[in-house]
Amino acid sequence: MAWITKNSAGMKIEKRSEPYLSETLKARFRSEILPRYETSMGALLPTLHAVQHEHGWLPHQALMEIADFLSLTPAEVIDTASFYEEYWLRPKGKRLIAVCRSIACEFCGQPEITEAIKARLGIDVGETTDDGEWTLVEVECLGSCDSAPVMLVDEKLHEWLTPAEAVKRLDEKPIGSASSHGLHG
Amino acid sequence: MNKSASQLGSRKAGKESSRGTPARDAPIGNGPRLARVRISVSRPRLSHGTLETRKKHRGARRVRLIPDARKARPTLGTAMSYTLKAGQPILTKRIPCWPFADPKGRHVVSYDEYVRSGGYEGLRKALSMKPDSVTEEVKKSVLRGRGGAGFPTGLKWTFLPKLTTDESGVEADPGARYLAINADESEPGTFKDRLLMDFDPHLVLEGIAICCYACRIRTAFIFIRGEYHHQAHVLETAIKEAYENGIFGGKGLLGGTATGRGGPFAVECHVHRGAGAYICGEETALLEALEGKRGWPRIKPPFPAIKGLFGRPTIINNVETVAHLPSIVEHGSEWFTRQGVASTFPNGMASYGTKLMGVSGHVNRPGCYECDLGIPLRTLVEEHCQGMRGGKKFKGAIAGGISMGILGPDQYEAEMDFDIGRKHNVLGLGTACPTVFDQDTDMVAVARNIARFFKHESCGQCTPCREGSGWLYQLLGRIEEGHGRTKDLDLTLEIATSMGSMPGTTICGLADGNNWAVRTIINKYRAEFEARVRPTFVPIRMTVGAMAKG
Amino acid sequence: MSSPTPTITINGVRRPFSPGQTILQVANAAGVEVPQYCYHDGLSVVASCRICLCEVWSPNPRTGALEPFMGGKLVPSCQQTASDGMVVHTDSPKAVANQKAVMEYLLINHPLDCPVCDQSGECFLQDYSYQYGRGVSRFQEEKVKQPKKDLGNHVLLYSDRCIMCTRCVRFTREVTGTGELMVMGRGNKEEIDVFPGIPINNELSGNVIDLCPVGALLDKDFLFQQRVWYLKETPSIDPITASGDNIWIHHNEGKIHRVKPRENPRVNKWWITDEVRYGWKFVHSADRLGAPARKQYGYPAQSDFPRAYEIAVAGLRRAVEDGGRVALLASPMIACEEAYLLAQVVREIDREAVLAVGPVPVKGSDRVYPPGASEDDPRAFKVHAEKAPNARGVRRVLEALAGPGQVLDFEAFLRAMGKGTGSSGVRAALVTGNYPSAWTTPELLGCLGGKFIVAIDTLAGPHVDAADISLPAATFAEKSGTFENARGMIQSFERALTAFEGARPEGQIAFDLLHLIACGGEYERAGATRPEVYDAADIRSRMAAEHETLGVFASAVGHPAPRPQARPDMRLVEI
Repeated sequence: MAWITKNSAGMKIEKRSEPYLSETLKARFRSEILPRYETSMGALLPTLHAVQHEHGWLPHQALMEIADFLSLTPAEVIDTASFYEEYWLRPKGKRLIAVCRSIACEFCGQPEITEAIKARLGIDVGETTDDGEWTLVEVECLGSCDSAPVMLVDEKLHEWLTPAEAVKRLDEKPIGSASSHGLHG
Repeated sequence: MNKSASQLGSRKAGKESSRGTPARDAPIGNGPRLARVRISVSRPRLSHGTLETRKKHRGARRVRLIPDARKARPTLGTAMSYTLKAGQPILTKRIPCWPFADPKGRHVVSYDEYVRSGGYEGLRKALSMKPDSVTEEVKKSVLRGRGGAGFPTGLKWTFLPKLTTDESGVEADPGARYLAINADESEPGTFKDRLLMDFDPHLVLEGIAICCYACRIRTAFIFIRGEYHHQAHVLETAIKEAYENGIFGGKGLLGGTATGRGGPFAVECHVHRGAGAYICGEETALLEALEGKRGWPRIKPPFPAIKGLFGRPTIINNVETVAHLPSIVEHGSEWFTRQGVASTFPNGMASYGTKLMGVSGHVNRPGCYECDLGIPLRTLVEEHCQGMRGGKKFKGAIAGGISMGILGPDQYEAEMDFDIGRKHNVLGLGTACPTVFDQDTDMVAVARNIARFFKHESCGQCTPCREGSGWLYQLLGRIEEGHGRTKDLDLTLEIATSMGSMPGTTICGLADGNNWAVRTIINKYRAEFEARVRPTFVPIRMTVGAMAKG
Repeated sequence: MSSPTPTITINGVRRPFSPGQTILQVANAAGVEVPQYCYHDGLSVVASCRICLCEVWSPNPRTGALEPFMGGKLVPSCQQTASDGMVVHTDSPKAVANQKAVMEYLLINHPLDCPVCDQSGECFLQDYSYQYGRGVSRFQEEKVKQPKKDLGNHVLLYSDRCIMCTRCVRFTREVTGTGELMVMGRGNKEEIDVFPGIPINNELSGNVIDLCPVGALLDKDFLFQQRVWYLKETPSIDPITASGDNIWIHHNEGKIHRVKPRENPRVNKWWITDEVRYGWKFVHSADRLGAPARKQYGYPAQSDFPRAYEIAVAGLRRAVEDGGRVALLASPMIACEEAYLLAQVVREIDREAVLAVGPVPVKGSDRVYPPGASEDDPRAFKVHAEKAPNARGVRRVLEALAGPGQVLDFEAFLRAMGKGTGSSGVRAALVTGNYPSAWTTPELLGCLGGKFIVAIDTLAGPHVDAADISLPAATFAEKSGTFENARGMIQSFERALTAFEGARPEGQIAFDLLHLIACGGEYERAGATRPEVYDAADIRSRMAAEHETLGVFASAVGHPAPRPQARPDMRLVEI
């Protein structure tokens, strides 16, 4: 049936031999995160966060491993993961620029910020540079409206931006992760 | 513990924490940069009064601007006339904020510093009381939820299933109950909870501990939005400190202190990070997200207080709401009701207490201010924010988070309290974080921006919101580009009325917010919209003589 | 004195209800039409389609005066439990305005390709557009376009027709527990899908097609086969497993096009297995027997009924005359009435005839859905490993005739036929089949050898070729009768199709043979008398009258619910 435009049932997913959800991570989750929740599904968001943090995005194989780890079906995992826009179900660049486009930012100069970054990286919003370094997205409110316009580069918030300043911030060295994804210490 | 607040909040403590807390070493801190970019002032001398003086000054007291700061901004320096009734900031006691202190001095308040400045005293006092007395005190204070809806917090707590007591007065085991702290602050224009989590996490934790004790809850989750990486880290560090110092953990609150309930009461507290979904700020969607599901709001009833997280009784409170609890318990409800204003409506519920008001947009000094509820918007903008940017004229302001609707140019005097909705034709006070627009703002673009937000964040569960929000955005986009006609404007208004504004047509209030925002903007700036659309000419067929017959 | 049963008033008419029922359930039970998409009796309530919203007033507990319920908000009737004295309006201006709005919203991203949609004619969207919609669309923007997806062996998804009621997703989570389906994304871009490469192939998967209120989930087997308004529906009973699932046969012009579950809360609830859903294919098999045949020179040769009957009766009689026994192998696939009549045929010839029940196929083990539910759970759905619809019914009937314990099972039958020993008192046998696929075993064929065999079956097979006489039988769809399921419930089914070519129901064949026996075995002597016509209802009352133990066939047969008769809209006028 040629008019079928998506063969969901027969689709092959990419697999690699090395698991995405490592045994050490599993052990930590078992001892620290899982006991917090009454159902294993409760630990789904933290698990997705942790895997994405390690690999940059959530390949289908990783989702299957998570499903297996939390005794869920893979469909339940992707159901949740696709709802939240922070989870990347397709590869993204090594670093992510999220420019806030909500009300305060847009009317304090966000469009120019986006344009400047687009020009600098030579990509459109939603795209990744050819070298796989940068992905540019526009997101809704980042909760820093007083310092508008703002953008989030990886996990660091840049405030009071001007087009020139925004472009300059891209040259800053990436910082390590501030968040430990719910794992204390 | 008798150190003055000025000492605590200032240089000494700052230095200590800069050595002690890792967060401060990390080049993330928003606070210092905020100050550096906007203004250059020398390190200010904080004008916080001591605890003693605060007790003396029960009545209203004028707050003087900090001399240094005024010197630094001579052009903007206007005489302050606004008065904070408590005389001193309460929530931002440890977070330097204009006009009391220069935000440049902001730093993460560590556990030690927090305790030194009178922290966890509220909790200590709460534990000496019976849990129901704590609830009663909060109820008497008429503390209303700071997350947007303004539901009385104490009343919400009483919705939990009652516990039976045996002959000797010992309460039955409450079983699993949860507290979910709503730190999913995603409403555009809103950035008040971030301030608390950024710099004074222990205030939030103390509030959590008090709430857990009052409601006999043993597990608290702080649901923080995914984009708040830094804040989640600060909270996690603070929780770790709290565990280390016996606030939380198996031994019991405050290291196993005996409580008015009899015996110690242990509470566990965890951070649960969201992942980019505005709707998770809706309380039942938040519970779904905590359960690892997609954030689709649940139908009510059953209400969360009866059947919430994992089917257990659950209380959901906003970050700022619980941050009020330590001071309410410490100073009493009577003290709390002296701040803020009573309702001007007969039998209306009062708006007591102070409120964090984050002003953004076209003002000279945007930022988060702690004000008494009831402060007029004009005062907030003209005095705290030092007027409109570039001396331009005020055109309007989103009342408090975009879903509340807009205050028009003639509503500049609107008083920021919970009565604002009934008085000024907006949905409500919301988060009390106005986004201010000057005369040059294109209101059609504002409407389009808002419609895009709601289209993007609609969870897709209910038909009217899922389909209507997309349609509304497409229509407004077309009108903005100049391809609209008068009938499109009428259609836009109709959609912004039928899509949930008829109360109850959707499960949650997201569509309601979308409606209020778009509808109030179109209604209050109708001329601007009409100028953008081409008129529709509708041919009318008439039968001559038809009237005569009828 | 207040009335003991609480009532609510829906659109001006008082309706009694039992506590716990929702407004929508009360309305549905009373036949008041309230539009509904996401609600389904068998699934959890999500109240997300928002079309069943109604205006509710309830009495103030103190004063008793009617007040707007929930502050005058529109209330989802699927979620709101009814309470005594409520006044519900589903046709008030407010409720109607909401219905119109929801209909318009649902259609803005719907492709409106009804002319090529299989659901067309039985589509909720169509029906409600007509009844509640506004007739024209004011939507001029771009529609969201979504792909057509292959989801599994039986299921196709046209995503752009989907209205996101999530019935299908809830089904895979709450009923089958397999959770293959999910919602992908959010907002107006969300769509139903499966995890890539993990299709929905559970044994209840076809039910999601029935659950879909619109044309989004489609049956590959039914795709583009027939416009639904041509289909006639006949109530029937699952013909291939012991569960006795209630089904509808949808057919047109002598051909079955699909089988759908028929709701029965005591048996199959709302569901059927894919096995049953697609188990009708043998009815139209190329191997169907269409004419009687007799063996000539060792090969079957086509014959006609009178000739075949004569030879059959003569052959059976000869066996008895030779001092042998006659045996009946009554298949568990035939109706109770037919087994009764066939037993009468053999007992007419040989009062001591051996009566046996044919082989009862078993596949796997019994399963209950949702997994872990108890069998008596009102929502539980049981799949039986036993793959014959009437093993109990046939045995019940034969035992009534031959006495308890006198009816052999298939193994005992084989032994009686000489399996192992090679010697047997049985000289002739009447063998029935009607299985959906090949069923004979080498042992059976071995036993049949050297005896006079009359085979009555639907599909060709080695025993048919080996039989002295073979008679073409009618499948379940071509006759009426009753089946007794694994829980001992006797349920009747109706005839949907006329029998294939020359095939006749086993019951009719039995009547023909009885008639011929009564006439002395020769058609010439029958004169003007004719055999009785097989009518299952008649035979049931006869069975109940003739045998006390078969009284259940008069008292405890479950019949399909009477269907509303379409009345002509012309008034009778006196001329």
